[in-house]
Amino acid sequence: MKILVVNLLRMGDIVMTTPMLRGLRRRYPGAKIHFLMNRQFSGLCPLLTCVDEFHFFERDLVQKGLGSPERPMFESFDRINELVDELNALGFDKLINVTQNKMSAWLCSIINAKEKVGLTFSATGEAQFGSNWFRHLNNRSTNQDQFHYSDIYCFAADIVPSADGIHLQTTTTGEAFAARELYGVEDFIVVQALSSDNKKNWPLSRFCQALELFAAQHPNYTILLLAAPAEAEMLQVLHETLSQKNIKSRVLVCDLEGALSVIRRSQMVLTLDTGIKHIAAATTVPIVELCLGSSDYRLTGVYSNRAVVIRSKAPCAPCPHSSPCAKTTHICSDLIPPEVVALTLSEVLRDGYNQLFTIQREFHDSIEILVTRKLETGFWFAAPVDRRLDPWLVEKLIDRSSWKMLLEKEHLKPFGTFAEEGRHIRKILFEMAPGQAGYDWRVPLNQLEGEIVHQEQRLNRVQILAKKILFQMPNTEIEESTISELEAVLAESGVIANMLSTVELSKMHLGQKRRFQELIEDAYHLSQIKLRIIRSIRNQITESI
Amino acid sequence: MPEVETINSQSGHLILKWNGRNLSSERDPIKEAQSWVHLQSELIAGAPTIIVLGLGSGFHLAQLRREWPECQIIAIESRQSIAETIWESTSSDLSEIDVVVANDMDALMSHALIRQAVKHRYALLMHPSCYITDKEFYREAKKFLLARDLKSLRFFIEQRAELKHVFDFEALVADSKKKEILSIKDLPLQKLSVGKISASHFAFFALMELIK
Repeated sequence: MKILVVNLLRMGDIVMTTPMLRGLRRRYPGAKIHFLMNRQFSGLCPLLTCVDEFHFFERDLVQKGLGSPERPMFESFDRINELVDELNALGFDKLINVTQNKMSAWLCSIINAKEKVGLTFSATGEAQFGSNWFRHLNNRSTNQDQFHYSDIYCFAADIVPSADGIHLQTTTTGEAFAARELYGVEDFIVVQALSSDNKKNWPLSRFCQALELFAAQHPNYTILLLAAPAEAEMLQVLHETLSQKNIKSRVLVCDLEGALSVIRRSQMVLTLDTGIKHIAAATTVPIVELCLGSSDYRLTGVYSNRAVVIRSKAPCAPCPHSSPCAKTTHICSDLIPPEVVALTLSEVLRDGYNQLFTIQREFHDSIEILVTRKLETGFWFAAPVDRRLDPWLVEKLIDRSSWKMLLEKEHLKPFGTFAEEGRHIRKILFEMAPGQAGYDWRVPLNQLEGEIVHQEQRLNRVQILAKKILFQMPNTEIEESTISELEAVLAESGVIANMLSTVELSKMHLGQKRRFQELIEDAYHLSQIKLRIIRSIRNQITESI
Repeated sequence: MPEVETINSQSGHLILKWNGRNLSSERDPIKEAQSWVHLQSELIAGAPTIIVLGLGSGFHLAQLRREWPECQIIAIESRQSIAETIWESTSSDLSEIDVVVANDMDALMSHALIRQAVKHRYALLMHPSCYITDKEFYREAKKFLLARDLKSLRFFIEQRAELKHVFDFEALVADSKKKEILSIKDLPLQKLSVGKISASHFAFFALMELIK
């Protein structure tokens, strides 16, 4: 069997594919796994396991070919065709495109494979997903709770995410580099203080203040400022400022192999949302992430257990990827005080995770601190440290499990695993609030059940109204009041609201009507699943009392 | 004074002069060729064919052959006398270089090697000697091989069935404003109909996503 995994995104996104790659290797031990990535990130290849052969998309050269008047008109066109021919000569059984953009979709549409998962286009230009999970990723509303990309990749490939998460291997080159560069350095933390996206950056002056406060508590620690060659000059300024304050620091320029080996030896990593953050997730080193700008921790947070995410409560965050910050000041960055970062680093270093609650309480107006966790239900999850005894937590856990069961079509199986899912959630709830045995989770469960029952009644009304519109004879007027009522009811539902924002109900073509009907059914099934899970958890709590 | 003459470089290699001007370095043509080829590596970047405008004294071609042994190398020369002198007298090894001698566009476009080469990806390189020997011809040849005007586009589309299937050349001709075509995105597409969308269309759509 030959499997081609296509990931034409950036470095961090490629690292986030590793749980799926590992799952594929376990599931198909005899398969040859091929990986197509942008040439720019080929430096990652020695770190990736479970891949038998790499192929490269020469994105930079293709773009140069398109933009330069000194290159033949059809050079880039020919380059794409060459790549497709090279891949088609291999004869793939399965293609998994984790890149959710149109460029990769057109490309994957002409790579032959018996089975395709992920976005491609049909001969009529219609989007095809090959998996409910990728369809969900494409249709989701930004307000909706999100699954982590690594989870979606795994579930879409029909693999249950394993507890080991991100997986990278160290190399002899990287290990030799780390041994040489870290000779004589005992305790150190790694700081990744720059990202390629300005919106995700925290000012170096703030890093300096935070590290100064941290060093006051931990004078024996060396601050290792990790740098790509292009970043070294900027970080040198930070290093010199720290040195003037008698803080032990160093700028360390290294490649990705060196970075992994250095991080592995460190006591802690402080990072922005960068590729290095994801590389660090492959180690057991504690990680503190500053989540700024367009960074959305729900989708791309550190995919490991017990990483700490600090994000601002700026109403504009996370902002869209493609546009620059529209505010006069970088609000999300300004809202994170250096004291918070320094205190968090200190607590994480001494394993004082419970104290993060105190920091959160003191700075609750401006920031939110979350701790990541790989749940027994198979998902990654980042829980705010102050919401561990909150109905919100129950709702989120049930919501995710319900979505999973819906996307896996568990509700259509003769023997659904609702009781098992309920058992997992009950266990998670109890673990997340240790020492709170007296707390009765049945109270928020009852509240949630009431809300869902109410929503279900409204959905019944939606179905009646929708039928009126969808099966209306052509050229007959639809009452304005019917559409308004339907829109009002749907606006409450995260499942359908996203579609409504782009299409007017009365102007839907047949395909959209069909999809619309499916979405209404999804919403209905989702509430049914939620009720079954809630009842299962409640029964188990009652039995245990 | 003859148009072409040969002299010895300081390094002991035989080099060509055209109307009294050197077609390669008089000091060290090998070193010069090495530097030139090095500068072209980004343009070549794995192309199966390299088309070079200008034979010069041939050292750059021999160097290309050494550094890109798997590529087909086609050298275009407009001066018959330069081609003949090179074959007869210089010390550069051009045994595995395909040479096309043509002094107008029609001769170039009808040459079998060129017709074959444009059917797939190639890199186009201009050697500095061509500015000395026949500036006008090479300027035209460059424009033609970059497919940047209507005449050359027609040629390319005729040579390649998959392009004919995707691009509507007649619509391009009808648009009188388009004398020069700057980019592939300027080319009008054939009207798409179900069942006629080919892999080439998909490749083109993928490219367009990179231009947006």
